[in-house]
Amino acid sequence: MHSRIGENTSVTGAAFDPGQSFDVEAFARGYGGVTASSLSAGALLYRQGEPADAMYYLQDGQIQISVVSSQGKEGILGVLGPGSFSGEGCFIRNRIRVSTATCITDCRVVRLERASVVRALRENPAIAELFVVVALTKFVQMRESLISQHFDSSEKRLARALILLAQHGGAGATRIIRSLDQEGLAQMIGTTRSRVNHFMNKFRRLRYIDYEGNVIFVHDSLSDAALGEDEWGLSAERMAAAR
Amino acid sequence: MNSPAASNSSIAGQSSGDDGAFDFTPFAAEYGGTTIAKAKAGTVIYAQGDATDSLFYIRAGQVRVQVVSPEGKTVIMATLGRDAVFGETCLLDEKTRVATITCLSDCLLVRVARTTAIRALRSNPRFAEFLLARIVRRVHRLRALVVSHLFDTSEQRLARLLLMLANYGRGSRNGTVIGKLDQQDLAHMVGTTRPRVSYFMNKFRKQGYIDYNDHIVVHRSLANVLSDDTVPGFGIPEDSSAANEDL
Repeated sequence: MHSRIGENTSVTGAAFDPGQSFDVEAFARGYGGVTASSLSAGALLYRQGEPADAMYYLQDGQIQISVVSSQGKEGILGVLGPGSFSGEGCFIRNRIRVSTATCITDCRVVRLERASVVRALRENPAIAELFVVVALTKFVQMRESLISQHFDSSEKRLARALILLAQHGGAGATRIIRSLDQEGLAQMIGTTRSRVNHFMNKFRRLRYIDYEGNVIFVHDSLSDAALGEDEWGLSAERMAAAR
Repeated sequence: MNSPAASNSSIAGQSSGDDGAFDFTPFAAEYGGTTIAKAKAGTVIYAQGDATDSLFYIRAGQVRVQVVSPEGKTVIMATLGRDAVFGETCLLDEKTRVATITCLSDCLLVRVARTTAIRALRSNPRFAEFLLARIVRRVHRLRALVVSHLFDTSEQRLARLLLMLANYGRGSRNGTVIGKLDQQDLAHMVGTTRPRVSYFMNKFRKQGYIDYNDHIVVHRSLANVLSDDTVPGFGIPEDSSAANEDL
């Protein structure tokens, strides 16, 4: 079961540790409205503008959360990994999706109908607590994104984005990002692809990362560099909160 | 703020007294650790770096949420009005406050100790539901700002911010007055300089999109500045009392 608020729960990952998965079967038995499905890379989970009538629990794979302006400009807000929830907009009434969720790898996804989510929330304090942790974690991530946009150079924002993306890429000293090309990274931090390319080359020279095609290897040294306030101006606490 | 209390009923609303959202009186009696306090405009409720021990609910008034970087750069993350919650990340294991909260007007605040909030969350689904709706609303507002940064020029970001502060997108009437923020505050919210804000504000006024003397009056026509008026999430109101968003 997930950690509980006020005990071991932290935004550094305890709530979303893939090892401590949300008990889908128990939820289905208790509240119904559960549909599990396997989706191929490229499949759409939901689209901006649709009614927010369900929440999703990602069991396996990676999902990209993006927004598109009416002029077709795309921005990437983040990438979710196993153990994440998505679609928390269904916690407020009459909401429409404000983003689009797309599978960037093959995914196993569980859809939880809004009515079941609401019933579970009202009847089961452990689930209510879990959802509060989910919402607070989203809040912290968005807050960090906004702070980063105001305070950080595009180079620092790129380092931050790589570290966040790499959290889904294994447990060793080197983590792997398979999902985003340089254009995607540029859309995520709000800069151009050529700037991203410039910084990626620099990071590679400094041995913070390696890359082959769209596969990026992020070494711990990138975190170490990004966490050092002297060089990067990013406080360790902020980075920890962002993770 | 200018909006009347909501009449929509909701689970959280059904338990309410005059408050329109959540009745903290029986809550305080049952769980303790809950106090109501008045705070004058200008009061700092807590400062960035303070230890986290509580969360707050705004019954009346407006506050500013501000973060300062190690280099001294300032950003105003939000202004929050009636029926908003702040300090809620104390429920995670955040040890210190990330932002400084300052009252922009006289405020009536409910303070709930962290341990009380955790206890209530585990035994009172109505409280969990009340909290969730307000956290998600803040997530949406933050997301809208993040998206605006990705898509908009600083002029458009200022226009979007003014429209958001004036609660457009919620069917409010033309010429809405927004709260007490100076041009430096607006610059810190938009992520630009005060002279740039001053330049754009003058331009908007000449164009008939806004008026200002002591306070800012925003006309719906300001939306003309936006090449793109459908950045998702911008319908989220500044002051939620007009739109009960509970489940």
